[in-house]
Amino acid sequence: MSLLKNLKIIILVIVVLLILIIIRISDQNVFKEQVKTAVEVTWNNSNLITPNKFRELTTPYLVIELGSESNPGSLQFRPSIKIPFEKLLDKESREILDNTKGALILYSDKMATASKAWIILNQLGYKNILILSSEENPEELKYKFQPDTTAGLEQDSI
Amino acid sequence: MDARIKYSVLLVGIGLIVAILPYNTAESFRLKSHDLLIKSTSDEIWLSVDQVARFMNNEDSTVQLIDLRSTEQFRECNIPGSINIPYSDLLNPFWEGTINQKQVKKIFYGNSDQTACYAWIIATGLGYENNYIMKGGLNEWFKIVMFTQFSGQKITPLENALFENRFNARKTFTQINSLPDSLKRQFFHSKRLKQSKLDGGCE
Amino acid sequence: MGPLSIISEFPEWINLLIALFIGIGFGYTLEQAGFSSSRKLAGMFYGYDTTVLKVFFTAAIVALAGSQLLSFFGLLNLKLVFVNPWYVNASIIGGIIMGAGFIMGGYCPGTGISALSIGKIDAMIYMLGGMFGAFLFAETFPFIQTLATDNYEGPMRIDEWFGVSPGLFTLLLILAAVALFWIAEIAEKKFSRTDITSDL
Repeated sequence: MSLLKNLKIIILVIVVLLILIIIRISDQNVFKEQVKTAVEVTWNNSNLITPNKFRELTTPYLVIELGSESNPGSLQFRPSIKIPFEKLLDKESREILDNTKGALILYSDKMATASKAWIILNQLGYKNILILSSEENPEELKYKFQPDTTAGLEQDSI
Repeated sequence: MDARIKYSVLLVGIGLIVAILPYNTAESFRLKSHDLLIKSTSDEIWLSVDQVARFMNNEDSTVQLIDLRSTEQFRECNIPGSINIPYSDLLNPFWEGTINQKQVKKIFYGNSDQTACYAWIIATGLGYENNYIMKGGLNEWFKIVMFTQFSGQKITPLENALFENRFNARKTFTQINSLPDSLKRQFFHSKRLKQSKLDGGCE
Repeated sequence: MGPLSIISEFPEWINLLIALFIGIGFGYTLEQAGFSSSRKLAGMFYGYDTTVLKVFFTAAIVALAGSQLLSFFGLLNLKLVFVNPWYVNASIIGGIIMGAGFIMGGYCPGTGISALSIGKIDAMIYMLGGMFGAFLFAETFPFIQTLATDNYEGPMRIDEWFGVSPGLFTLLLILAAVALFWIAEIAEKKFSRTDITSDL
């Protein structure tokens, strides 16, 4: 008992620190994942799913159509739900995301929106999220550069 | 009680707490999720290819174009003045100095929007400021800057300025990318040297 | 959010002013802790006074645990902390030379300046020697360049090298420190000498 009495200030400091840490950990608004996991998954496009593969899906999933508030999605998939990108992290949306069993499939007519949403959700700790992409590799260069073989370093505009 | 024991208990206690911290915050996003979402819905993060072409024509030193494609693709062609940070290499500490600064506008681009959006949101989430995306990526650049032709009877002054800008950008793009690799590297090396002199720093 | 200079972009002179105040504080603390006495520093090597070990090791573990906690609460960006690059050969050889100079002179560079500023003559000679060493190093650098830059491992952290998390490494280091302090106290009793300063 006397040991505890002697150490009471120390124990107080440690308990306060622990409480602060628990508050921080339970904050749903803080990102907890390592950034490099997102890069590892996205750089070879393994987070994309093509419409063909999507049709063959047998496991449960939920399509999330990320329109904007002015331009909501068309609900062409089933089961699906509309969540405007701006409201992705609202309480109601979070509840839907948390309670979904199986894969979350993000769809947006703009690849940019789905990409941003994917990283945000991934870094918040959601597993099993995919982006429905009409192209196998959206990052393909559709044009071929034609070099001008007469160009040299001396020319004026360099 | 002996102060030595008190300090030892305190230190070991804090050590235990640090050891069980569940995640390594140095490697996670620093922004809160709501702040990041608000930033990423803003329209101000987008720059059009025409704007980027103007930066390039003016050799604007307040912007830094960052090409996120692979080294091979970068070698084949890139927007003059850009540096190549392949997306898979984005978190390499070597690039920290380039990405983690707010004096210069960083404009990310890939072939389309996807990779640039990934990179933008990672850089912004990590707490770095002044990040932008070139809308549409190089596909848009080719479509608008390289291949549009003026077809009409009369040209307004506004259109004239726009097409002149595109034409100049097209010329520089073709010239620099047609240079052999050795000269290209020379060009960028001298540019980067100039940059590092401006930055200063420990090493 | 730290580091301070990143968030508010101080002008250069304020940065230098802050550095000056930190330096004054550091020097004052060193002097007050008795580190301007070469006997105290040499005591570390002979085992009769291990204050140096305790002070510097405590400083290291407090900084280590503190920076981890500040980073956890989002108050400090650890990515902006400079990690010294590691030249293996240079570190070993330089460490031996530094250690030899330390025991012969009775000061490390920081405490040497601290002792110099309170007018100790041996510290003045020590600093002259240090400057001569720096001069010699600079002048002979072309000959020892390969030695100095060989085996470059880049900015490397021990926790990454061991493959453990920074937090676990901090705990291990704290346990090691507490154990070492305990051993140091035993050594102090074993090698104790009468305090000659009190006779003066």
